[in-house]
Amino acid sequence: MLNEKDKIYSNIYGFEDVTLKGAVSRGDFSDIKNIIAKGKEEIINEVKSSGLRGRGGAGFSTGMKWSFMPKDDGKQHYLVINADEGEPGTCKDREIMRHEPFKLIEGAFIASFAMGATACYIYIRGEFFREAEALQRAVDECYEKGYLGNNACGTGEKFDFYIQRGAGAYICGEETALIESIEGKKGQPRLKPPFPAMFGLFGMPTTVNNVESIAGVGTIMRRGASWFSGIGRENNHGTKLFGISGHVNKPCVVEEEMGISLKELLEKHCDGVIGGWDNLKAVIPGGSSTPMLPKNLCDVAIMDFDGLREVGSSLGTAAVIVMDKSANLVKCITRLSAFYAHESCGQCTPCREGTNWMKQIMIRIANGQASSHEIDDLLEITKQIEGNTICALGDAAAWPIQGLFKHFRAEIESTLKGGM
Amino acid sequence: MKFLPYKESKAHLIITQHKDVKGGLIVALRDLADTFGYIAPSLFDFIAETFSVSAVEVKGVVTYYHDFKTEKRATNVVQVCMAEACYARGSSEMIEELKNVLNIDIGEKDIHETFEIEPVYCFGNCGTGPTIRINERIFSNINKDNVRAILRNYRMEEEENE
Repeated sequence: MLNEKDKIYSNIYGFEDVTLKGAVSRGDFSDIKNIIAKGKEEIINEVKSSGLRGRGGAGFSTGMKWSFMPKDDGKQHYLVINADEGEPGTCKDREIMRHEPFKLIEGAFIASFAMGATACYIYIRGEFFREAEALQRAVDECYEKGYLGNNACGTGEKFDFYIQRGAGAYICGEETALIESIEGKKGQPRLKPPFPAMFGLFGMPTTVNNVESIAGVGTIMRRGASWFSGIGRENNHGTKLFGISGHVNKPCVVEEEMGISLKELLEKHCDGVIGGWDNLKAVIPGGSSTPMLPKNLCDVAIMDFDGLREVGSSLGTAAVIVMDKSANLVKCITRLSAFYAHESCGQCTPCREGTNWMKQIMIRIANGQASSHEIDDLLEITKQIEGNTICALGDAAAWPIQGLFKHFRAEIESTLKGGM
Repeated sequence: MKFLPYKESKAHLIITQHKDVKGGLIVALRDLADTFGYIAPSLFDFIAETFSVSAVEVKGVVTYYHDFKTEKRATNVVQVCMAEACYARGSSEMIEELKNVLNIDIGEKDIHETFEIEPVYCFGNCGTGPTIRINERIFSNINKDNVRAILRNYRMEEEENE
C-alpha cells in the first residue's frame, strides 16, 4: 500500500493546475540548481543506487544505461525520450504528457546534464496529437520563463527540448527504429552493436529512455535514492504507473508500489473484476506482447519485474488487460497476431514471413477449421521467430501465442475439429 | 530549376520550410499529411530534391508509415480501436454497426466521400473503451446507440456546409 506522500505524480489525473505555475507550486523544479551543482558523476550514481529500472518494458537499470555514455569526448550527445507508446493496453505516458509535462522536462534536463547532452528529442506517437499539443505548450512556457534555453533554470547550462511526432508505425517504439525515424528515414531497427550510446542519433552518442523513467528522476534526486529504494522489493524498487483496462468495474491508471499483488491492485483500485474474482479468465499483465496468465496464476502474481518472471510472464509496460469468462481468448490473440503481422517492418525474414503464417493459423483455429497438429506447427514457428530477429517485435509476436497455448491448450483443442 | 510545378504552391512552401531541419523529411511529410490529409505522389520528386534523397527513398518512407496516405481521404475518417482492451469491451460489434449505419466496408468511401472506416490499434484510451476517433476528436465508451447519434451530428454538419 503506497502512501499518498510517496507518490511521484500528484496531478496524474489533471485535477489541479497543469500550467508551469501549478507545477512549481507542487514542487517541480525546486532545488534544481543544487541538483545540477552535484555534478554528473553524483547524479548518475544516485540514480544507479536508487534502483530505478527502465519503465519501457525491458527493465534495465536506468543509471547503468546513463553510465555507458562516453565522457568528455567533445561530441554532441543526445537524450531521446521514447513516447511512442503504442503497445496496446498501455496508457501511462499519455497521462504524464498531458498532466505532468513539467516533471518530464525537469527529468530530461537532469538526465541530459548527467550525460553531457545539451539537447533532448522526444518522439511522440502520431495518434497522440492532444498530448503533443499539451507538451508543446509546456515547452513553450518553459522557454518563455527561462527553464529551457541557453541558461536553463538559471544554472548556466544549455538545454534544448525538441518534440517530434511519429506517423503511426508501432515499430518506431524500438529504440534504434525510433532514432532512424527522427533522422527522417523508414523506422527500421538497426543492428546492435554499435549501441546507441556509441553511435546513435545523427551518429552521435545517444541514450533512449522511456517517458516514465525520465519523469521520475527529478523526484528521486530531491527525495534521495534511499527513499526510492525503500519502496518495493529487492531489485524491484520504487513506484510504478499501472494502467488497468478490460473487464474490471473501474478501469484506471494508478500509481502504486512495485510488488503489489495483482489481486490487490484490481480490487483496491478498480472495484474488482466484473462479476467478481471468480469470473476472471485471464490477465495480460504487461501490455499485449507479454504472455497471459490464467486465473490460478493471477491469484498469486506479484506485480514487479521478478515477480512476473517467476510465473512465466513479464512486467512489460505494466498495462494490465483483464479478461473475464465472456472473452474469447483465441479471437483476442488472433487479433493480436494480425496486429503484429501488420506492423512487422519486413527487415528480418523470420518475422516478416512468420508473423503472417501465425496470423493465418490463428484465424483457422479461431474459426474452428484447424486440426490439433497445427497447434504444434504454430508453436514451432514461434520458437523459430523468437530470438532470431534484429529487434524484439518477433519475440513480442511469439510470446502471446506461446502463453495462450501453455495455459489453455486443452480447452482450445476441444473446440477444433477432431483427430489429427 | 525552373520547371518544378509547385514552386509557389502551399505544398511547396510546407516542404521547403523544413529543408534545413535535421531529419526534416518526416517533419515535412507530417505537415503535408496534417494539412491536406494525404501526400500526393506527384510531390515525391520535389520532396526528394529538397531533402537530397532519391524519389524512391521518399516513396519508401511515405508508404512505411501508416499515417501517410497517398490518396485523398473522405471528409470524416472514422477510426475504430481494435486492440485488446477495446475488443474486450465490444469493438468488433462496434465496427459491424458502423458498417451497417454508413453502408460501407472497411477501406471504402461512400459515394459522396463523406465517411470512411479505418480499424486502428490503440489510442491509449484503454480505460474507457471502446474508443473511436473521428478526424481530430476522440469518443469514449461507444455503444450501438450513441454511435448513431455521433454520426448523425457529422452528417448534419456536412449538410450545413453544402
